[in-house]
Amino acid sequence: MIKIAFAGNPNVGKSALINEIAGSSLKVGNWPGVTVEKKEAQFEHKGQTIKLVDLPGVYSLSPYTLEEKITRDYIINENPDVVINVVDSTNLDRNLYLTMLLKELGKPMLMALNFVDEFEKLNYKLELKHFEEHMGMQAVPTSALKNRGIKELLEKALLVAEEHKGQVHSKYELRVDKFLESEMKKVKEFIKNSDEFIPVMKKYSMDFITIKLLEADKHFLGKLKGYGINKIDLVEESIARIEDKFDEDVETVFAESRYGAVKGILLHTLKTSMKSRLDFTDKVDKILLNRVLGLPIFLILIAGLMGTVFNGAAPLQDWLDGFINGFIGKYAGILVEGTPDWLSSFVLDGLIAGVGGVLVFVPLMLFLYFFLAILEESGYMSRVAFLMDKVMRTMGLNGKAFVPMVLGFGCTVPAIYATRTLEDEKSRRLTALMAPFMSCGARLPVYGLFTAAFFGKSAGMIVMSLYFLGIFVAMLVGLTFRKHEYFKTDDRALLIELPPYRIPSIKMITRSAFTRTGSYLKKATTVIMGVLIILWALTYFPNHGDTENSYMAKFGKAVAPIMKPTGFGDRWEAVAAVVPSIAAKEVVVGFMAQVLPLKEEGGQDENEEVTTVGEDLTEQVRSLGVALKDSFLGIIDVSAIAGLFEAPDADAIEEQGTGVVQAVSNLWAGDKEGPLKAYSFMVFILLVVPCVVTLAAIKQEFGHKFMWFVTGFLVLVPYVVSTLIYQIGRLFI
Amino acid sequence: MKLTELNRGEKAVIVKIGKLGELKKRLTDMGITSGEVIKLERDAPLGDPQQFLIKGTGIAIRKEDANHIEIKDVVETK
Repeated sequence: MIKIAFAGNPNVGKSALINEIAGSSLKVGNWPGVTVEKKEAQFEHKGQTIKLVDLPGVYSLSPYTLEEKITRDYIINENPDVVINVVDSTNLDRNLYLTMLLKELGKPMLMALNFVDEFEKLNYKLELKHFEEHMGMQAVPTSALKNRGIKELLEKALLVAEEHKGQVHSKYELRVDKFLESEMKKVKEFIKNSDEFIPVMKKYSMDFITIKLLEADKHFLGKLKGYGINKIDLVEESIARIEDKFDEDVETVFAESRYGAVKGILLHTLKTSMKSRLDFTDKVDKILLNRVLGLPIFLILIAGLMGTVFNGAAPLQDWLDGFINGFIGKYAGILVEGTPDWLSSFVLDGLIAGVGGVLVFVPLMLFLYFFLAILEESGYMSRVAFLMDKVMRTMGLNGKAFVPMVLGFGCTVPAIYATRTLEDEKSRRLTALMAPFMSCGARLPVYGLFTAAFFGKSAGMIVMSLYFLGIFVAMLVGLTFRKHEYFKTDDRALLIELPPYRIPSIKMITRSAFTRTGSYLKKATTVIMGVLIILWALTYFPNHGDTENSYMAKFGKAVAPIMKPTGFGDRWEAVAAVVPSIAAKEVVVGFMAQVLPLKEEGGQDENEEVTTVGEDLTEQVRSLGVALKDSFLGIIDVSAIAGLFEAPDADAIEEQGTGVVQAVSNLWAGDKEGPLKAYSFMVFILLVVPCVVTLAAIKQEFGHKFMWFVTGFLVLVPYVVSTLIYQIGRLFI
Repeated sequence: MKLTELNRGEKAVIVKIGKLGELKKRLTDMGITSGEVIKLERDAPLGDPQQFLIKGTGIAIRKEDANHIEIKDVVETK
């Protein structure tokens, strides 16, 4: 097998290149032990297995960020047969700095001069032969977008890999000034003559060892300790002399030497035009980052995005729901006819409803990832951080944390995944802790039911107050935890690159959306289904479908006393409803319908027409067509965004039968504290664990421990807040 | 003078980057070293952070950090 690693700065098009080379075989996972995205592709080429690894985008190989550590360790320890250094050819000036650092590692290398189409459009010219000579490696002009140089890049990479087989180090000398050179020589001599360095030299190139020693690179010194090498006096003396001479720390001195070398090479080989590559970007930024217009445009854009995602996905979600429950459910129902009661209930209420609950999210995920990819690929996402940084700082976060928060109003699950855009693990955690308090769309039906039952005309105001309460609690959480060691970013200052705007390729965005959704599906079908099946069992047993005497009801009755301080603890139905609400918030409405006695006009089933499989299938296809049309209309209908924040109208509740509203209002009929208790219940539903899908997402992104912490937190907070609201509210009644 | 004293649209040469800990290393990695020309593009709508142009790249840093960067030879570009 031939391993090819792709390294480069962020936003240089590494993933797009890999996609072009490997086709659709790209797999997305996480690097072992950390949540940095790992992309790999494997394919057959001329009888050989080739593995492409997309290393995280980095600016350097210092030991500070996780991405840098991963990139550096991978190249050193995994010994890829060749490293392809992808550079943005329109910004060689800065990109080649990383190239210099990569060369110090001494592995077989090749350069991809990416975005060559833009490079030519700007009338830049590079004397390729000379450039290759100076850089000491081959360079292939490429463009993933225009499919240029892709084949050549792969062929050359394979040649380089072949040439260097068995040879660990390519030759490399960093040209530095005389003084620095003499100091480096002293260190090199010392290394050569020290026995304990023999094993180290097998792994690292001479230049790398020398430079890292002089730079006092923490990470590397730690590795040396493993070889029994500690403080070296000779090196310390060298460091002192260099710092004295240059009046700078050694790291900076070396950095400047590398930049100097790059400058020298480009001076002789690159001709740039007067046309700046940032002309277009500058024009767009003048509007999008404008002092007055910047924020309004951003807010409209985000609202538009949310509207598009949720309105566009809703018809497809409804269709999927109908298809699974109405079609698959119907025929599964026929299949399990005659089997024991528990088995048919398991298949219909447990399995199919469970799978359904999971699959229904798929259109939403696809849409969301599609638009997130556009924001990321176009270069706007980093601008969001720029716009919102000052606001988010008060909560110990930087501007990038704003995006997941906004998404949380639609659905907490994508909000959790969107924390990936934050580079630092601690900020990600804090954001994931705050995002569930943004009132998601699934909570609306619950508000709708309870406000209709208890608040009548002021329903809208009540719902609005819940949204604001959610935001308020999230901010409080941010302010409380920002100083905590587990969440506090190590005072890492903000430094973001605002890359040039690029029109993202449809292929790239689509692929990104599908791979991410795929990884959601994989998790969802395992973890979430399991939980949903357990919930089914708890409402079904021990009395075979008699909900009122199910384990769930027993649990509700047992826990009710503990919930007393929140007000709604006097009704076990309300208490028990919280449990299935964790499967999905909408379940509360159905649960209430099940456990509360309601007067129903029965006989619905008898009226149902008898249809054949063929007719049903045609109907499903027809309704899919309608759903696709509605979805499209939903995408272009921007005005529908407003609907996201409206209280659900009477129609939605009527579907459940006004009987439910009546039954719910009977929960506390004649109780003057009734509305307060109902409000306290809604607050609890607002703040409690949004759903198991969210927990699965948190587990996937942050691991078991944090998931359990969040779970506990999202039970404690609603308990405290509901209690406060009820107890204080009582004083005024 | 300090980088924060630069007006919008002005360029200057970086003289020295002061004590910024880890950030200094990250600035260096992104090409912000002494001798380079840096230009202030704009302030964020809320006044902070600021957007600069250096080595053909747009970057944003907070004012409290920019305060540690020393500059000279200010030139107005527009």
